[in-house]
Parts: sequence; structure tokens; C-alpha cells
Amino acid sequence: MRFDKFLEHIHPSKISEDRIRISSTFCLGGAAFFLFIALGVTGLLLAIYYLPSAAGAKVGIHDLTYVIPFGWLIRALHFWAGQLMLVAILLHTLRVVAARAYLPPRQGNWLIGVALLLIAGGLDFSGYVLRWDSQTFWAAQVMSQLLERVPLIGPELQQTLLGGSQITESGLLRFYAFHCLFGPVLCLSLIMYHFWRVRRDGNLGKSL
Amino acid sequence: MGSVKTLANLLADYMLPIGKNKHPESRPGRRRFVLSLGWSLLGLAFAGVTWMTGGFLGGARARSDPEPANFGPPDAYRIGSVVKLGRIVLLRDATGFWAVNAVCPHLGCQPDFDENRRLFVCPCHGSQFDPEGRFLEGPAKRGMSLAALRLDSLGALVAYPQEKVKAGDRFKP
Repeated sequence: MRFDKFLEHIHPSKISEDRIRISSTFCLGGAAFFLFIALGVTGLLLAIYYLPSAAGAKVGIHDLTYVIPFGWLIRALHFWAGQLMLVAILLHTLRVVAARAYLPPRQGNWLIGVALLLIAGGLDFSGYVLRWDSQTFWAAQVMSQLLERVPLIGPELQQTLLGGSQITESGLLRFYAFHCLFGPVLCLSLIMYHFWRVRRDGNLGKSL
Repeated sequence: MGSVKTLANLLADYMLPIGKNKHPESRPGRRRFVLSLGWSLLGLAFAGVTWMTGGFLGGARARSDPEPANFGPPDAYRIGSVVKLGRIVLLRDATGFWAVNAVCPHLGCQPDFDENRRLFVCPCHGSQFDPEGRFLEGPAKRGMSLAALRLDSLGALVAYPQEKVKAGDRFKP
């Protein structure tokens, strides 16, 4: 394995003219990645003041919004980057569908992309639950009940993902761990593989 | 006049329509200008972000003392009255006046005076103080300071937050 040529390979040495037109990709994947980086930076800052417990979440979010200098700004940037990233990924998916780029030989990367879309949705939802007010608590409750109704493995799924049949503080800790650790690490690994596969599979499918 | 001329020269150098110049890229002055403008803006943005991030990481701190407050003629206040002006609260009982700097020592929020319970309650994290600013409970851990009271030359009651007085001291006009 060699990593020293990684940056050189991010962009190919040769590229056909129609592929560098903005309308080939609209740079939607790039926009989503940029927003992912922005989410990482603002998220690291927010993690300094947030505590994943019932009382800690209340005080942390109050202080971030009203007391810490520029806390409101960092929170707003994190929120809007999250919403926009989901929008960018959805549009990216639509673009890929329209260009029929899910067909062989790119079907593998299409599946990676779908996985990234689902994880991004999970990150968005878990971030919402971290507010831990009555609104987001009941949102988590609804999600828990939905999981329970999954055929055959429902209760086990609920137990595994949320740590119990009721939403409690230990559930909040799981949302926190997923939002700050498992989700982003998984996302970043898949994103790097996704980029590499774009180059390896070649082209971008039919131009729009 | 020299500076005006220089400015005009600069404008002529950088803002000439491209059509008048067959080889705009052969004008290093313009390119240097755009380049240094770009770098300056980038540096400015970087400095701004660093400043804001520094403030964010520094966290919350109690703000500086409030400004002096002029409460007007002392006769206007009945015994038992509580009046807030800016961040200073003036109180009066049978023994005299005192003024509390209503700035919570915890994170600098402004505690409100609860008339029913006769105590200050901070809206941010619920710290409580007695009417003379002494700490009762909550995350503040210490009490609020009292401002010195004096009459000015027109006989108005003025509170000076920079000059601290002990709890229990009364001002009698």
C-alpha cells in the first residue's frame, strides 16, 4: 500500500472535455464532502460544551445558544451544514439516477453511495435527538416504536440500537456515540472508498 | 495633493478596461493587486475565524461591572420598593437604601428580583441570592457585589458599581 501518491491520484492525469463541464456532476458530491468537513470542524467545537445526559444537554444547549461567545453561530452553522449536506446528497443521488450511473460497472459504488445516504440520514436524526427536549425526546420515542415493529428482528434491533425498549439517558448516550463517533468514522471511511471507486470505475455515466 | 494623484494613478493602473489593453496578463501591476487583495481578504477572514473560535473556546465569563446609574431623587422610593435600572437594582427598607450589581458571578447573566420570595433568581442556571446579593444556592458559588450610593450635586441618588460596599451597609440620604 502506498499513500504518498494519494493526492496525485485524487484527480486523474487525463480527463475528457465533457467531464470537466459543471453540468456533468454539478459538483454535488464535492459540495456534500465540503459540508461534511464543515460539520466535523463545528462538531468538534460543539463537543466541548455538550454533555450527553438529561441535565447536561439542557444546560449545554442553553449555554451554547445564549451564553458562550459565538456559540449560537457555531450551532447554527452545524445545523445548516447538516441540513444542506443531506440535500446535497439527495440531489447527488438523483443526478446519478438520471445519468444511469448505477448500472455496471459502477453498481458497487452506487451501493456505497446509498449506504452513505442512509448513514447521513442517521447522523441528521441522531443530532436532532441530542437536543433532548420534549420535541426530540418524542421523536426518538417514535423511532424506537418503529424499530420495534420491524418484522422478526424488531425487538432485538430496538434493544441493540437503543439499549432498551424505553428511551432513557442510556439511549441518549447511544445517540451521542453514534453521532460523534461511529457515524462520522464510518462515513469518512466509506467516503474515501467512494472517491477511489469513482476513479477506478472510470467515467461518470451518461452526461445530463 | 500627492496622495490624490497616487490614488488616481492606482485607479488608472488597475481599473482600465481590458479592451484598451491588448495583453492584460502582461500587466503585472494589476495581477499583483488582485493577488494581494485576495490574500488580504483571505488573511482577514482567517483572523476573524481565529478570533471567534478563540472567544468560543474561552467560554462564558462574567461581564465587567455595569455603568453608574442615576436613580433620581431618593424621596421617590417608598420603603420596600425594588427598582431596576440597567444592571443595577436599588432596594429600600426601613433602615435605608442599598444597590445590588445584578450580575451573576457564574456566567454573567442578570438575576431578576422575585418579589414574592424576596430573593434574586438567575434565569440562566437558577442561582439564588438574598436581597443583599448574598449567595444562597446554585452554581454561582459566591454573592453579587453591592454598588456604592451617593447623592450628586442636584440631590439625585447615583449608584457607582465600581465602588464596592459591604452587605448590610445602608445609605441614608
